[in-house]
Amino acid sequence: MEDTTKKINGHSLLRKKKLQDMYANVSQQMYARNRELAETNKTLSLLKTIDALVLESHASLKVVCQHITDAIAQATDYPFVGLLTRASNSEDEMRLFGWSGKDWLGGNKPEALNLPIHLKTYQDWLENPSVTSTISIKDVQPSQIAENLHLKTSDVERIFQAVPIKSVLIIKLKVRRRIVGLLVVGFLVDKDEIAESDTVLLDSLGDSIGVALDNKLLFEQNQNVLKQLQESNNKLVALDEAKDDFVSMASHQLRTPLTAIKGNISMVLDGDAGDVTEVQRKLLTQTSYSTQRMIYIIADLLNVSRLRTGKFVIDAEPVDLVKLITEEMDQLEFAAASKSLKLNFKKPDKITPILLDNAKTRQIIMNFVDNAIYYTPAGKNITIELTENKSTIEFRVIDEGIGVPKSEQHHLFTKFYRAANARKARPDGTGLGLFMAKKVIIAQGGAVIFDSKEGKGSTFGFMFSKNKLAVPENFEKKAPQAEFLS
Amino acid sequence: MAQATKSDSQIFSEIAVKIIESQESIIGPIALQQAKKVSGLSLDWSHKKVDIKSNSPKVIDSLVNQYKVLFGDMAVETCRDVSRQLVSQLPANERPQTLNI
Repeated sequence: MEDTTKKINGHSLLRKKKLQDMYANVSQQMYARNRELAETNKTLSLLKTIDALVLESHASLKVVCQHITDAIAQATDYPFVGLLTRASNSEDEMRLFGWSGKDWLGGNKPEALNLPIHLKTYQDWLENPSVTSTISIKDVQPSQIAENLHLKTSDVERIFQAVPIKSVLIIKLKVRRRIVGLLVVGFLVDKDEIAESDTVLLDSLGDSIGVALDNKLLFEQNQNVLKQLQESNNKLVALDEAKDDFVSMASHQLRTPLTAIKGNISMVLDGDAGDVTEVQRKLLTQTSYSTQRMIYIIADLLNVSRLRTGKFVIDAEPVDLVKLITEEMDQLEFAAASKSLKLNFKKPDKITPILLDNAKTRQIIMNFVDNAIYYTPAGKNITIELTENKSTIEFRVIDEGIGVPKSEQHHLFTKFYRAANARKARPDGTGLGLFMAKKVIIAQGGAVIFDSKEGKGSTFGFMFSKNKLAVPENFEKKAPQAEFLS
Repeated sequence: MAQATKSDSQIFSEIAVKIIESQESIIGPIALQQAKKVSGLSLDWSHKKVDIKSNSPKVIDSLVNQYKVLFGDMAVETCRDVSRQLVSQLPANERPQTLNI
């Protein structure tokens, strides 16, 4: 009986011991797992803080670096954390943009830490594939560090006196096979005593900080490029203004003698200087036409300049478009005939006068017909059509010329634009005629008519509302008002 | 350049705070309950303040052992990791035995 009781007690003790061992084992396993989780949690929380700092910050690279080192120092007890990075405008040097060691060094960064580190000096070390390196301070002489960093030995000694760090862990922040910065962490223990959890944490931070710095650097580089572009743009605008001023002045100066030339030719053609032979008449007519073209080109240049300065005006008066078109066609008759082109003018017997800028509308008509003559092969037809409908008056110049390629049609009315086939056919064009024509038509409340098929021909014209431009009963011509056009 | 010097008693208090904090992040409120059982340790945890009355190295050793009894050597390792930098600032003969590497 006694033996049995002893046996049972022995069993119970054994079971109790087993259970206790099992309990201790489970507790330790649970502890180990929880410790891993706590470390992961610490790393993740720090990574999240750094990500938030970089993503949400509009501050400069320097400020972001400072925030990152502050965040690391706050979450750990490292006596010194430094973040060196390339400045966005420098490829061969790094600077300590963020640092934390205020407990030891006070609030002000020592002057020695403001100096840049020249990367060329460290090329071999930087190209070494290992990401992390640990230095034991006792193994390096302050004079050696001072020489490498171009510092004074006394400055280095002072820093080491103030911060009694025994080892330094340097992590190369690599992104896209390029070192964007260095994370430098000082420890109060020797390099062999640095906890594994610290190296694991700093390794993980290194990857994240590298990407963050790279993004920030790229952003700052973009900002620098943008700034340079803005400066270049400002210079170009100033140059453009100077050019416009010159063109405006030169055009004014050219216009006066040209008007005199045209007037004199006209007088000679009218017989004011005696009889004119047929040959002379042909030559003078051609001269007159070329002079007129030159006047219109100068007018275009002047109007472009006026558009920019807001001095472009529409000087409206009642215009009989039949008369106006006929007069312009008379001037172009000779040019058309010299290319064996036939100009057919389809017009109504009578047309309602509307309020238009006479000179500018003439110029549009001249431009459309002149273009048709230039771009239509010899022997073809050009039809000039003026129609009056119930509510509109429409003008069209229909040619059988080279046409405008489909892909270039949307550019056609922009400043200085000329279609490739037009440039080939007529290298001397300014690219201002159609641009100004559209501006003038729209400024008068009209709409541009345009249709073209490459190789088949084009139609250029305008359409005006009769109601909108109706001449009031007691019309009196007023001084022109400036119209500001974009 | 201002160097902040800490007294040994300050360092011991900071070591105790670091140890309790780290254990709390792993085992939760039990860490605090265990710390309260250590004699010579006075806690004001709402302000994260710990006072050690006397014989600081021994009190810290007791604190570390409190966790060791429950969770084994890994708990000691945790205490060593978090206090490493602070322990290194103490004179060698003043360092708690459990934390001396």
